[in-house]
Amino acid sequence: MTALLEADALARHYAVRQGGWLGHRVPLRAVDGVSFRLAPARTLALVGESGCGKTTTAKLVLGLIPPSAGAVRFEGAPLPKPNSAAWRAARQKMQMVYQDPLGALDRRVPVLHQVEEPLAIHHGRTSVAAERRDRARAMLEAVGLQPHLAMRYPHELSGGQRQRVVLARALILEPALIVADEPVSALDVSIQAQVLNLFEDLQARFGVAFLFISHDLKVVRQVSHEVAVMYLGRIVEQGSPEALFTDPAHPYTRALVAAIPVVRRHSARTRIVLEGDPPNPIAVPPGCPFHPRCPVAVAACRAEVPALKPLPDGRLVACHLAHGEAAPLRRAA
Amino acid sequence: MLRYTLSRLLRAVLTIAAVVTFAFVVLRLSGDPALLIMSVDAPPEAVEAFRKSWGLDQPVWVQYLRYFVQVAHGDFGQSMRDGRPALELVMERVPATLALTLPAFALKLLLGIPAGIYAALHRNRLADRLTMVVSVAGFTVPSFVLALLLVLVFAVNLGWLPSGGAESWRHAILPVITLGLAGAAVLARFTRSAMLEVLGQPYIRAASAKGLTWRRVVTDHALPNAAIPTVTIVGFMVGSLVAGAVVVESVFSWPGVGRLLVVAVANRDLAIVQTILLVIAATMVCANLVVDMLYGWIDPRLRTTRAAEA
Amino acid sequence: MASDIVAPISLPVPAARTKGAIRRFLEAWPPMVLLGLFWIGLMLTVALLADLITPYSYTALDLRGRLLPPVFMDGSWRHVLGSDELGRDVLSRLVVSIRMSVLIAFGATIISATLGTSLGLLAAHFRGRVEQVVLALVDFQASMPFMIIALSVLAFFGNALPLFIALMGLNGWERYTRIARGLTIAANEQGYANAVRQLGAGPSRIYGLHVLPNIASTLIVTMTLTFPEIILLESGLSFLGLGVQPPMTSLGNMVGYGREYITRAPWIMLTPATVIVLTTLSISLVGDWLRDRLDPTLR
Repeated sequence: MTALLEADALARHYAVRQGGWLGHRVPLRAVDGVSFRLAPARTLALVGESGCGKTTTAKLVLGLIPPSAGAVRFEGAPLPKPNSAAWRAARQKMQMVYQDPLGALDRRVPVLHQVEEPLAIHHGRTSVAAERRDRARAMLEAVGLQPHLAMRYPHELSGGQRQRVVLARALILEPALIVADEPVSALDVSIQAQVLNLFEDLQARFGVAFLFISHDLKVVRQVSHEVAVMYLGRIVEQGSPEALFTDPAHPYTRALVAAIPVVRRHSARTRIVLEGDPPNPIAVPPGCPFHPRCPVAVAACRAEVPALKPLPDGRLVACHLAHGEAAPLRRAA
Repeated sequence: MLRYTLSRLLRAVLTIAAVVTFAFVVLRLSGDPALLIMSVDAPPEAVEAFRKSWGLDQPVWVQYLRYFVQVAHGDFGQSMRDGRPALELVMERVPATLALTLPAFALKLLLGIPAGIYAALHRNRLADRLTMVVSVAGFTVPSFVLALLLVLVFAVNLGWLPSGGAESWRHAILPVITLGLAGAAVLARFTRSAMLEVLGQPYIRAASAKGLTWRRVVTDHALPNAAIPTVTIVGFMVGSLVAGAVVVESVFSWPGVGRLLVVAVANRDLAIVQTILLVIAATMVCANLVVDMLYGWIDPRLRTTRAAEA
Repeated sequence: MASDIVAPISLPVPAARTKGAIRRFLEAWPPMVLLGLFWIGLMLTVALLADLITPYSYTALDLRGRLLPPVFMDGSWRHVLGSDELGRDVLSRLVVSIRMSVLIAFGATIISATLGTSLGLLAAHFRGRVEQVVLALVDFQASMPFMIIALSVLAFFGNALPLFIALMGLNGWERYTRIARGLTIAANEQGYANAVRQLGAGPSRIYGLHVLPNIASTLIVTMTLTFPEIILLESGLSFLGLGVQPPMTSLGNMVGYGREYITRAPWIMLTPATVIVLTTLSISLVGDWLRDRLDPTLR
C-alpha cells in the first residue's frame, strides 16, 4: 500500500542573526531530519513541547515552505512550489486546521458561505451557487452543527461550534489529508472530547488521513493510530499509542508520560523532573539532542547522534540506551 | 541604547538625503533651472555662466552629486528679487519666526497638557465636557479664521492690541496666541485620551488598592506612563507649528520665514523656496531625533530591550 | 449564542412607550451627531445644486450696490448675505465656493485613500524590499508638515486646478497605508486571509472579497479625519492666494478677499469662515461617533 504522505529526512534551517544588526549568523534548526509515512485514512500524531518543530513540520508537509534538505511526497509525487497555481490546485487534496478557529474565519461572512467557499474557489465555474450551498449545508450537518446556525456569524458561535465549521470547510472538498495544528487546545475539556470524537467519525466516514499535532498527550492518545514524539527537530520515538504510553522507551517520552496528571487515590506514579535548559533550536547540543537533560545519559550520548531504529516490538526509538548500545550507569543505591 | 541612537541617527540622515533629492527632482522637473533661478531679464551670458557653474551641461547623476555638495556648502542660489544669497536671506528671518514659535510652543504645552490631564481626571463631568468642547473648536477653526477673529475683537473693536507688523512685543501677543491655541486644543485632547487609557489599566487599580492616596497614584503611576505617548506627539506639534507659522505670519505681517515662504511661492522665487524647504526639513529631522531620543530614554521597556540585545 | 428563550411579554403603557422610544432614539443618535449629519447633507445638496440655487451669477458685478450688509443687519433681500467690494452677491459666491471646496476635498480624499490603501496592501502582500520602500516613503511623508511640501510643489509647478487637487490628494495618504498594512499583515499571518489562502484562493479573492471589506470601516473612519484636514489645508492655501485662483472662488479665497474689509464689511469674511468651521466640526463629530460605533477598540 503506497503511503499517502511520505517525509524523507526533512530538514528546515533558518539563518538567524544573533546579536542584532551586526551579529554573526547561526542556523536555527527547526526541523532536523524527520522521516515518516502516513497511510490513507490513518492518523499520525506529532507530539512535543513548544519549539520542537511540530508546526514547521506541518508547514513543510503541506508545501507552505520549501525544505532546506530532504523531500516530501504526496501520493507519490513531489509537492508543487508554494503559492503557484499547481499548489493552489493541490489544496483540494490537503488542508489545514488551526488552533484558533475565530481567527481563521472571516467575521463578516456567515459560516455557511465560508464552508461553501472552497467549492466556489475550485469549482466556481462548473457549479451553481444553489448546489454549493446545499453541499455546504450537508457538510455542516455531518460535523454536527445544527442547521439553524448556518447563517450565523463566527463570533455568534461557541468555540466548539466554530471548530466544527472550520472542519466542515476543510472537508468539503474531500481532501485525502488534513493537518490539524493543535485543533482542540483552545477548547474546554468537555468540548475537546466531543471534537475528538468528531475527528474519528469523520475519518470513518470520509476516509481522510490526519496529521494531528499537539502538545497534549491525553488528547493524542484517543485519536491516533501512531504517535511520533519530537524533540529539537527530530523524532525520538514513534509507535502505537498504547505501546508509548504504557511502556515508553525513550527517556524523554518517559518524562512526558510521567507528567500526565492522574486522578488516583493512591498515586503510585513517580514524577520525572527534567533538569537543565529548555531546548533551544539555535544551540542544538552535540550527540543526542536530549542528553543535557536526560537523567540516564552516558558518555556515548554526548558523542554520537542516536539513529531512529526499530525495537524488537516494531517501535522506533532514537536512543543508545534503549537499543542496548551503551551500558547504563549504575546508580549508587 | 547605543544601537537605538545609531539607528535613529541613520534614519535622520536618510530623511535629509531624501528631502534634498526631492528638492533636486522637483527643481529639474519644473523646467530649466537656470531660467528659473536667475531672474527673467538676466543677460544670456549670465545665464550661460550660471549653467556652467551649476554644471547643468553635465549628465544628471553628476548634477545630483554637485547639488549635494553645493547644499552641504550652504550654496542655495540667489534670490530672484534682490540677488542676495538665499541662505542669508532665510537665516536672517529665522529669529523673527523663533520669537513667535517658541512662546507658542510653551503656550501649547502649558495650556494643553494640564487641561487634558484635568479633563481626564474629572471624566464626564462639567470640566471635562467644557474642555472637550473648547478643544474641538481649537482644531476645527482654521488658524487664519482664528487670527482674523482675534484681530476683529482685540484690534478693531477693542483697540487693545495692534493688528500687524512687528515693532514691539505687544505686536507678538496676538500671533503667539493664535499659534498656541490651536495646538493646545489638539494636545489637550490627546493628553486626555492618553491619561484615560492609562487610568483604565489594571496597575492603577492595584496601586490605589495598595492604599496610596489618589493623588500619589496619579503623580507616581498615571502621569509618567501617560507621558510616554505624549512625547511622540510633541514631534508632530513642531511640524504643525511650522505650518501654522506660515499662515499666522502672513495674517499679522510678521517678518519671519513663513511669510518669506509665501511671498517666494507667489513670486516663484525658487531659490528661496528650496532653501526654506531644506532648512525646515533639517529642523524637523532634528526635532524628531530629539523626540526619539527622549522616547527611548523615557520608556523603560525600550531601555531594557536594547540592553538585552547589546 | 443560539438562544431559543422567548422574550418576556410586557404590556407597555402607550405614553411611556413613546418616551422610551424617543430616549432610545436619542441614545443611538446623539443630537450633536444629528446636527452634524444635517449640516453635511446641507453642504452636499448645496454643492450638487449650486447652479440652480444661486440668485445671481457669482461673478455678476453690481457696482452701485457695493458692500451692502446682509438682510439681518439692515440690508435688503436683494442680497440676502450682503455684497462684496465689487457688488457681487455674497450668497451666490458662497454657494459656488462651497461646491468648489467640497469638490476638492472629496476628490483629494478619494485620491489619498486609494493611493494609501493600495500602497499598504502592496507592502503587506509582498513584504521584503517593496515593504521597505513603502515604509521609507511613509516616513518621509510623516516627517515633514504637509503644508511645506504643498507650498514647495506649488512654487515649482504652479496651481492649475487638477494639479492642485492631486496635490491635496497627497495629504495624509500615509495614514491609510499604515492602517492597511498593519491590518493586512495581521490577517495574512494568523488570520482569515491566511486561512482563505490555505483553501487555494488567489490574491484577488483574498484581498477583494475578504481583506478590503474587513478594513473598510477603519479606512472610512480615517477618511472622516482627513476630509476636514483637506478643507482646512485648501482654504488656508487659498486664503494666502496660493490655492484656488480667481475667477474661481473657494471658501478660503473668500476669507482672503474679505480680510481687507474686515472693519467695514465683516460679513464678507465671516460667512465663509462660519461655513468652514461648521463643516469641519460636523465631519469631526460624525467621524468620532462613527469610530465609536464601528469599532470601540480603535483608539
